[in-house]
Amino acid sequence: MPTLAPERDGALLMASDLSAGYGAIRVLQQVNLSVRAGQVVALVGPNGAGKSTLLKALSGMIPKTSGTVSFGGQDITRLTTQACGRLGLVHVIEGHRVLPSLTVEENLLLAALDQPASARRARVEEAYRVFPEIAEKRHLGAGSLSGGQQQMLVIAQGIVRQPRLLLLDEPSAGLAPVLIARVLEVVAAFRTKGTAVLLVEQAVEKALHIADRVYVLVHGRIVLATDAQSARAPGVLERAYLGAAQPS
Amino acid sequence: MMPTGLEAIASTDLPPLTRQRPRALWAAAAVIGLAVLLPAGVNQYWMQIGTLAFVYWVLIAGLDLIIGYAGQLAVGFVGLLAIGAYTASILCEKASWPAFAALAAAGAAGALFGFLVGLPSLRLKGFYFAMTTLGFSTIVTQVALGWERLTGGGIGLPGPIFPAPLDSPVGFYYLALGMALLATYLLRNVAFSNFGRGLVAVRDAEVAAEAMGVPITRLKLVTFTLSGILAGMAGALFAARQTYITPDAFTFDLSVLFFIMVLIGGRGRIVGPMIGTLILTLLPEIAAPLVMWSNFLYAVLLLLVVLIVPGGIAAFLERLFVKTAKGEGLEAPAPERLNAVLGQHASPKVLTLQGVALHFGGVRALDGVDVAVWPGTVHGLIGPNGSGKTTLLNAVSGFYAANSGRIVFGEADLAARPSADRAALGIARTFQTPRVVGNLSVLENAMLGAYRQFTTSFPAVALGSRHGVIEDCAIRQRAADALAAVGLRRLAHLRAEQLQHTEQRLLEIARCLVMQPSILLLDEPAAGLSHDEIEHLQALIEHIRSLGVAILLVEHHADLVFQVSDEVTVLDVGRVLAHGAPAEVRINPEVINAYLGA
Repeated sequence: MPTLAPERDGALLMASDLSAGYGAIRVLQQVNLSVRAGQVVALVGPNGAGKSTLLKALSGMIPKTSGTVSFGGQDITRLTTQACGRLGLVHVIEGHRVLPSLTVEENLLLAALDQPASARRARVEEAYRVFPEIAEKRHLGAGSLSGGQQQMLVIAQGIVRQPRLLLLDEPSAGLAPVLIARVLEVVAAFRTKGTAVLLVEQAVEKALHIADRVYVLVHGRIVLATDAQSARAPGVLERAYLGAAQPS
Repeated sequence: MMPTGLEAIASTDLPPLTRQRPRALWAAAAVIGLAVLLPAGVNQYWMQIGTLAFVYWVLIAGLDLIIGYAGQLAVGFVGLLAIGAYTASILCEKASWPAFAALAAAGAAGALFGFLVGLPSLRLKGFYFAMTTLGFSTIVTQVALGWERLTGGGIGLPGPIFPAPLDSPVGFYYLALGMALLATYLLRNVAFSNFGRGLVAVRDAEVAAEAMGVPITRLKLVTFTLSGILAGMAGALFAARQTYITPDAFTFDLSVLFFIMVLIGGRGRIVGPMIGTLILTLLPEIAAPLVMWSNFLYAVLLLLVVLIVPGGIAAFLERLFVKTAKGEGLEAPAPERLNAVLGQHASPKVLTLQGVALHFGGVRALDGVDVAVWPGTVHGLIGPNGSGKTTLLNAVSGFYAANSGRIVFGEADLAARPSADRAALGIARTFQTPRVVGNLSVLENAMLGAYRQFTTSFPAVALGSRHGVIEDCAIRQRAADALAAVGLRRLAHLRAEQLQHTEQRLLEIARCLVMQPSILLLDEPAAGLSHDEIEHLQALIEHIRSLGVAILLVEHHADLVFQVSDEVTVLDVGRVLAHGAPAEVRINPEVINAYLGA
């Protein structure tokens, strides 16, 4: 299958033969994946396939048992999450993890700490333009936001860090349908600024709509890597999901 | 009431709970055998140290419930030891009570003061509570020092003497051993009961505990009382072993020692703290020349344990002897198992909200909302983020109090009832961010749902009531059925923190079902679920409805809401924007504009 090989030329992020897991439990099995600059890549697959684990392994949140990861030509296999963040590889994790006792604005300024001091304010204002809902509440405690608003804040924290590659885990979880459309627009707009996005999303159709490329992860293995357009053809994803479910 | 309980135990195909591990029983038998034979093999000096370890363990067994299970930082337990010691000594010396009566009185005094020590824990958390217990122990020693007529002041007074043959070193050794076994038995019974699970829930997920109806105030106070009894009796034994007590014996260092015994043992375990007690009783004896350094040594030991095995000795043992549980993955849910779970559930009740308003400062989170949810129907609640949906669930389940308006459930006006009571009325809810008790197994988490249905009292459970065990088994079976219904059956033995986010959501639903609720409040149950899983969820919701339960569903997956709901209410900035049949609401232009999008 020629489609399984990652695109090697001009890859911003490249994972080769990556395996990882928790303790004795091996979740990812020799995953190959690449993301180019300015590309939106969707990572889809059934729950429990290892999508969140893959993002965590890429951003250094869990150790890798084998394989390598490079980012912008640099080997980042052993780097910590903080070091990855400074290089521009920013991970927005699943669940509404904000600092509840700080205000919305403090949460954003904290996320912008890696940025030059003079630029922080501008970054935060940029995030407010994307989510006017939280701009209204900038001086309130983040813990007083509703669940969906906290989710917006978490994504906004990713935006203010000016990433070169944003790893987004389920950004639409808990958001109203109108907002999902807006978040995905924002993701698509990153492309024009040269930011790449690796997107894990259960709203598969919507994700495919904005993605350039798709990886399908089943049981910790990449079973399909293709451009988004061919993945949109009827039956392609279903076959990928099912094909891996029956070991041949 | 539970004649079927025993058959259920026999037929159950569940993984055994900790209390039924045969290997653990053999190990316990071996340890007890060793303790019984010890006096034959060692000289009197080592036997005395053994006696002291048993006496300390009587106290630590109770303290483990407080620090380990309930997660309350009680550092001043030496105060309760002193109260027990002085009560027994004074009664024997001044009133000539027999030693056993004095022992019982020491337990009673311990119970009273344990209760008092526990009172601040209802309001204060963490270190603030720790300070109050420290203050308490200081007060006790100061009183003992100052009340010379009764306590002998700095000169002290003789401890109780037990009747022959218990007055000899060997006899007293066996008395202490017997008391230590009794304390272990009480601890084990409580730890593996619904009370033990409730305590861990209070420690790790207080909000979830409240939502499941755990009466937190009462549970904390009862536990403090039991640990007070044990500490008081330990005090009487301590005084008898010392033969003479002065306030100097009850130092701050001893308090720290007790605290560290539990921590290095591993909180919320039984064997770990037991070994911790043994080690820290022996250590000062072996390292007698280093007595000046004792606090320093304890600190180093504590740091080492925390850095190397954060879970204490217990975690280390588990790593050696307990196989890592592996998940075998989700299976297809079996909603038909619900019939067994909800079989005899509470009577159908209507939930009505009339003009409910709730504000935080100037923000109007709810601004005059009317909603009615009927038994056997699904009521969808949708709206933009921040429109007040979760606030409404919080008002119904009692986490927020409405500023005006009425919330009526069946016959009951909910205005003045705390969350835990609402759970008892049959209101079950899940949370937007799943609140599971990470350190309990998936099965134990599900069993928490039935907390309010246990009828066996705390003292009866502690004393090993057979009725309590049978009840526990019946609930265990029901919890297993509920897990099968949501598809988590094969993950029942994992710790809940090992589950993924989406699986934790399903676990919350299972826990609610075990409660046999009249109404189920679901807060975004489909968030993060795949297409197929959402279909399973829909089938599950429909099945729950068919059994007569009312469901209030907050959800952003519009397709799911419109397919499964009988009625839909749309909230926007705290008001009802639209209400009606799904088909009408879906084409309402205002709803499309504010929520659904084009």
